[in-house]
Amino acid sequence: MNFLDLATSGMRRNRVRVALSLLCITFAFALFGVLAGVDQSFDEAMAGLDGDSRRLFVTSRVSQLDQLPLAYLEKIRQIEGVLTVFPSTRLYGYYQSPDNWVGGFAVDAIAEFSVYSEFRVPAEQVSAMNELRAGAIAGRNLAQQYGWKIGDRITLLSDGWQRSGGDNSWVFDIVGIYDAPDPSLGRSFFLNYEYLNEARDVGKDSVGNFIVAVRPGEDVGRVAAQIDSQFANSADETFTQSGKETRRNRLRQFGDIKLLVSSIVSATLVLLFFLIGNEIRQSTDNRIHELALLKALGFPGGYVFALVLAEALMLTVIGCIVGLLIASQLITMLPKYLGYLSLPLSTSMNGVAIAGVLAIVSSILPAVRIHRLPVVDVLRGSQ
Amino acid sequence: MIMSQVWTLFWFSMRAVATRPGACLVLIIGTAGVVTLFCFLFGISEGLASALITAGRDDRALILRGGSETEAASRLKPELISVLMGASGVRLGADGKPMASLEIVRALELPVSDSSVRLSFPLRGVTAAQAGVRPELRIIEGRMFQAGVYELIVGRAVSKRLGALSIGERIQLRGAPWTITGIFTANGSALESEVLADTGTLQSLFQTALFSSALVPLQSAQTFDEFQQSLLAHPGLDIDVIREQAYFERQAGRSNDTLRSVALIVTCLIALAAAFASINAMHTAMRARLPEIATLRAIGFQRTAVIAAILVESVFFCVIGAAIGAALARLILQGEIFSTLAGGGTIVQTAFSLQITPAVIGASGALAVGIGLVGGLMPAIKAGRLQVADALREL
Repeated sequence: MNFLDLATSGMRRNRVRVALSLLCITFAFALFGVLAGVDQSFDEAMAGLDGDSRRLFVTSRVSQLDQLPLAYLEKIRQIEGVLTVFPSTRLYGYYQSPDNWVGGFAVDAIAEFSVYSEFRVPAEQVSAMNELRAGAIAGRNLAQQYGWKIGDRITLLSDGWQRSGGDNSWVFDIVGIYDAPDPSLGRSFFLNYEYLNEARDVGKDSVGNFIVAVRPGEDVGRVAAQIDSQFANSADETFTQSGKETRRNRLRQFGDIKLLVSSIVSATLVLLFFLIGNEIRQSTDNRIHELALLKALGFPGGYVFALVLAEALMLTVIGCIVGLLIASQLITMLPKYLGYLSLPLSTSMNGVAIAGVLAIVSSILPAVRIHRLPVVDVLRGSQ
Repeated sequence: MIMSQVWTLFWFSMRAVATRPGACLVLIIGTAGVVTLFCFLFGISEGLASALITAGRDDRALILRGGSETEAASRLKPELISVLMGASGVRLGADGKPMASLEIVRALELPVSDSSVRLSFPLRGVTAAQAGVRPELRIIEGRMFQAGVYELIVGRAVSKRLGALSIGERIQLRGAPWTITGIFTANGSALESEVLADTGTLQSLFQTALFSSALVPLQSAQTFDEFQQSLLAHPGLDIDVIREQAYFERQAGRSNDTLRSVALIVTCLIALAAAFASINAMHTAMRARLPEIATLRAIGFQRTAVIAAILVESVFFCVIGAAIGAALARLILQGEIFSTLAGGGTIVQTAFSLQITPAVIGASGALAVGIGLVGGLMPAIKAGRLQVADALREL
């Protein structure tokens, strides 16, 4: 009888109990996977935009909903340390039905894709967009979702901007598709700012925000401060932040809710893991006679401990893997506007690490007991 | 007969609880955790829904640009005013003219005190008629703003959320200092997470002649159709007329779908985990008690009584756990004010208080009974199937 046979024999003997523990562990890890997965997807999406700490977002100080005058473009370009600046305006729209949100950005095509070098797109597609007024470049994930191909003509309905005459439908020709480093960044839709600006009925020559690329070696904070001081005390004061800070701020708008939910759910998870650990400890305790018998037969103490640990590990690791598989399915069912969520590898690694720790911690007490107890006493007690 | 047997068995087993504290604790702690979480998550969802739903009344009509989903995205032309003055079904003001508050809705980012966080709240311009249009609005501190000067009032939830916001304080808005003159309440509705000022003053500040929306008080809830018809008779206006209540219900539905789906996934998973932990605990406890149960059967307790007693016991512990969990949630979290982004597309905060309503507590109680039943069922059946003679022989 080899080690694995011995280790699984305890499990085979009490199938009901093993099945129950396994199910409990599975659902606990599924919950862990969903929760930690959401948290880490946010973090990884942010890390995907590695150029973001060198890019500045100039928005209205009143709120992100407010617009800035297009005339600021030249003024910002004059500021020392500014490498490139271009206007970017949101076009909130949907494709065919209000459930199909499309996050549109009206930009300068050439500047956008040179500043966001992490978005990979062939140069001829960018110049095609620049030359065609109604041209647009969509993210790979967005294009796949709605089945768009290069050459397609599509119509977006906008809740915000209307064309003159009160028409809210905007027609675009897809001239390119870009690839993003992270799927959550591959859902944007880029259109020409000039197209939006000339066709809209109100708000002409207004800009949602300016995106600034800072010259290498320049102090980003100094450039941001200089942009804001340039427009201080005017009717359109600006608020300039790096892309990284802007994203962090946007997440903060979910605010205490996200923090509270994750802290309360984590507390409940810890409780659950405590129950599981306790259960494993008890079931090993109940089998202490068998284990003592193994020692009496001459198996070394380390071997017996390894047996106990192996059994606990099998329970927690199998439960963990199945639970994480369930989580990877559930996480895609969460509302899309939270972002394009998936279960990151780092979450799975953390899950397996927790499973390992859980098994070790819950095996230690019984193992110590076996180690301390004279075999003879245990065997006598079982009579 | 059976009932008294069940009662005796249950009582008998309660007195021996001290011999198997582990199983009872697993049931109690597990359910307490599940119920606290359930109350918390659904309390958020209830609170948000109630803040949005109490904001809307069915005897007020909201006018938006045709096809606009939200007030912030809507733009109305000033020509609408003369049309409104001739509309029918509208409540009349003291001057004998139809009442209407013409509003402009923007967003205002304000810094949270002692941190670098800036939160975005709706900034709403209202006209003089608004006092008659929104009777629920009450100034609890300071005074109303004056039209024509840079003054504004903030909702109670805004001032709570931002910390040290006080009357007389100034906010810089488009190059001009605005003074906070008052703090208001509005029946705990979503309006309390807004900042109010005069429409005309905001329009000149934002250099626009457009409005976002118009809020019109009706003579009664029944005159809505009449009012709607009288407006839609004007061609080329391109507007949507809806009951204010319907507007907020739509908003509530949208934001709550998200919360509910998250709450549902999380509580389902944790309830399943707790249920299996309970089954396991009861199963273990029951194995140790098989000789005892066999003895009870031998001295005349019926099979069904034994099964029922085990179920009652497991439900009993889960209900204790639920009571602890619900009490904990209510004590710590009830009435706590949160603010968050409500739903897709919006970028402004809606503040609300956590509402652990009787319905939430009832549902969490039902969940606990469910866990108890599931937890007790398998061991109960096992005990019921016990062959008395065999079990006694093993003693």
